Amino acid sequence: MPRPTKCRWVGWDTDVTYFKPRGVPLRSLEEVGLTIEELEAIRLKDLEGLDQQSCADRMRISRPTFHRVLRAAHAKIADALTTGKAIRIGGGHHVHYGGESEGAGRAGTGEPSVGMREKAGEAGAVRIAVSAMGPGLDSQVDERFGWCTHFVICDADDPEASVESHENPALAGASGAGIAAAQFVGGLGVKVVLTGSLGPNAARVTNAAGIQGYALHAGMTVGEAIASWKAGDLPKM
Amino acid sequence: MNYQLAVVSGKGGTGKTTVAAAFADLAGAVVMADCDVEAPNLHLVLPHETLQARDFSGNHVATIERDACIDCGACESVCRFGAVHSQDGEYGIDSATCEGCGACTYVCPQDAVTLEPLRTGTLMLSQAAGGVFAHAELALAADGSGKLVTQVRQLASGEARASGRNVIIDGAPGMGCVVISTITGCQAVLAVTEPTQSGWHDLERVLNVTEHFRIASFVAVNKWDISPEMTEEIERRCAERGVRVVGRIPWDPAVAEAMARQLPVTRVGGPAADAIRAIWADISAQRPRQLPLKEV
Amino acid sequence: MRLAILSGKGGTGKTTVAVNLAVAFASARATVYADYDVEEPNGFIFLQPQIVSTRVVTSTYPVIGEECEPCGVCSAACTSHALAEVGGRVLVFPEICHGCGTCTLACPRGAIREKARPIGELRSGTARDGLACSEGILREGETLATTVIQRLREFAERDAGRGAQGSIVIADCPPGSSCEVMHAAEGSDLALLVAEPTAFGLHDLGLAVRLARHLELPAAIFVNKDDGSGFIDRYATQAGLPIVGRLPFDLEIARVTARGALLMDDRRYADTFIELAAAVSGLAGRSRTA
Repeated sequence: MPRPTKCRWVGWDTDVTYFKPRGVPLRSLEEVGLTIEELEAIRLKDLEGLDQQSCADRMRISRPTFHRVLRAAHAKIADALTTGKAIRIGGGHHVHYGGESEGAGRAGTGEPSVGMREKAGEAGAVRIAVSAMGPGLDSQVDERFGWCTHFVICDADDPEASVESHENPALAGASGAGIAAAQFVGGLGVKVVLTGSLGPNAARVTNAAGIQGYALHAGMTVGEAIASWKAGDLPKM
Repeated sequence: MNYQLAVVSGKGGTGKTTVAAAFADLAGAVVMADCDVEAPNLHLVLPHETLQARDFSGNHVATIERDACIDCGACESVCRFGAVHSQDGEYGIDSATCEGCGACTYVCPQDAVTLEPLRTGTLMLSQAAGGVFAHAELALAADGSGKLVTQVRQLASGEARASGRNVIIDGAPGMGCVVISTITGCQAVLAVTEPTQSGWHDLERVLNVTEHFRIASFVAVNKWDISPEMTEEIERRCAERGVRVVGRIPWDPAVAEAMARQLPVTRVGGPAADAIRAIWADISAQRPRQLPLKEV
Repeated sequence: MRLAILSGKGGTGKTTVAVNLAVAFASARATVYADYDVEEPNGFIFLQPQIVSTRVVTSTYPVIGEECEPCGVCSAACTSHALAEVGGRVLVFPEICHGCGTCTLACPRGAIREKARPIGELRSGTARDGLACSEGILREGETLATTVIQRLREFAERDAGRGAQGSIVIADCPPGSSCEVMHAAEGSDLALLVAEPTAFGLHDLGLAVRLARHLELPAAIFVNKDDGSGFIDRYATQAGLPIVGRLPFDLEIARVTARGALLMDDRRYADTFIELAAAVSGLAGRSRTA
């Protein structure tokens, strides 16, 4: 039985990583994350006009998988355009094959490039995630980690300018919300988590990701929680 | 952190709901949650008005788009739950058996299989005398009752946080998925048992679960006078494993009468109500903290 | 012939009816009793069978091999969140894995192998009059009750076979109305619904009736702890369902079952189950030929 290859090969790179609606302050924006391979799928299909099989071949994935990636990309962009969300580009699972040549070898050729999310992580500032009941720094914190509705994420040195809000994707799963949430914030380059408590499963993930947890109390806003953490008032988990 | 107490039983029909409803009455301002989503009963003795009800899709189910399907059978070969079947060479999915894992979507060469959300129950928030009340009803023969229980817990916790109140949970029988979802994150569990061989057998299993998840547990023996010998036996065995028996509730016709009048037993009175009142005084004075989690 | 004993509500006396009915049948024909209440199986407490075989029920979980170059595909594929790709490696959480194998299919490097993990046990043996008994037991802390139920069905009923001439299978089902009950009850010839005449009992009997109709099983009602109120009788008339037996409300019965003794061994109650056996085999036989 054929097994689709799931690592996506991407033939270009971009410096542009963020689009936002004009006139809306970043801190009150929700955003959607478009992965590099989703952008590549759109580029090949919609810009270069290749047929699906050729696109799939370029990315070294099966046609159904390509179709899935493309559909996800279209849905995300449609969501952002119609509901006024920002688009963040980066992350995903891809290998850069360094050129347009279709003949790049299946393995061993082309330098795998670093994904966008690692680049973001290198920026120096410590990224903090706070479990919250809504988007933005003024939302109430949520003591639940896996089951919070939103993660508010920012850089420690300038929360105001760097704040972004994500819906918690772990809510969609059948189980293991803490695991999925920890993996999600880890994938966004977060190194510090402020939340009520971490279950044993979530703690295993945060440990592996090198994320340190700090315990906050209910009744704070996200902004207040970050200020307390900076002042050293939140206990380590 | 809001205090959450779950009433469970292991064996069914031991009087869990009777005790939980009485606790709700005694606690005054409190948030209630009925986590027995397969056969909910608490709403029958808590006069209430439903404020909101919404469908809940706790699961996904694979569906095959007939137009795209080439009946190659790849999906059937990878499904470990026997949910793919073929009739006259045409493949289809049995939604009741499908676990929603998506293995079939990975192998379909036509991309004809997709995962769609499946309604698995109704989630409700109601207003009762002492406060709001979260409950649910599982769709008939649906999977994912554990997830629906988690939703009830979510709803109750949210209300509890907003109002600064504690939560009392009426649990489900058994010791599997639904019970695990019921007790996770609770500060204490009260296991209601009856003095029978089956009652002890099931109590022991549910205590193994609460211990596994390191949640402080107490036991109450209901209808203890059916077998004073077995009651003593249960008390002795609980003491051996370091679990405190917080009370004995006598068999009392007022329990059935209260149920028929759709009232908590404490509103009718009698020896059972008195015993439950004493148990509540004991437990609510304790506020035991969750035991520290094991290093994992 | 296969009888599913259902109740909706727990503690109505489902197991009491199932074990005594099984004993009533066993003296006359080849009978199999199977306890599908894998979370809290109690039938063996009463039947005390001589255990002749046990079998471990397993599920699988992924083990990540050295070929893995963490790409996150497996964790994205897992709808149970039993895998997490983080910090340059993949973590596995066996206790929440459903054993679906999707990660193995998804891994682009073929780096995932699967290992078996015990989640429960099946036991079978023989009680008096050659009554064949089986039960499934879910391990504490495990959630895959459905898997244990499905394995038990193969294990308990394959040989006992509904095919064998005149043999009967008594399936003691779990309480509730979920898919677990469905897996235990489907394909039976009759659903015997055990109900008690209380407000809770009546409400949950309604659930059991809906489940039986959903599974297209003919149904009959057994009234337990009958207090003469006619509570269940009125419902049964309305729903058009026959009442095939009843046990009175009697603290003496509660004491007998509390000890783990069989009502079939008590002259006062044995006839109830012998008559019940005749009534249900008549009904089930009719539904099979219909």
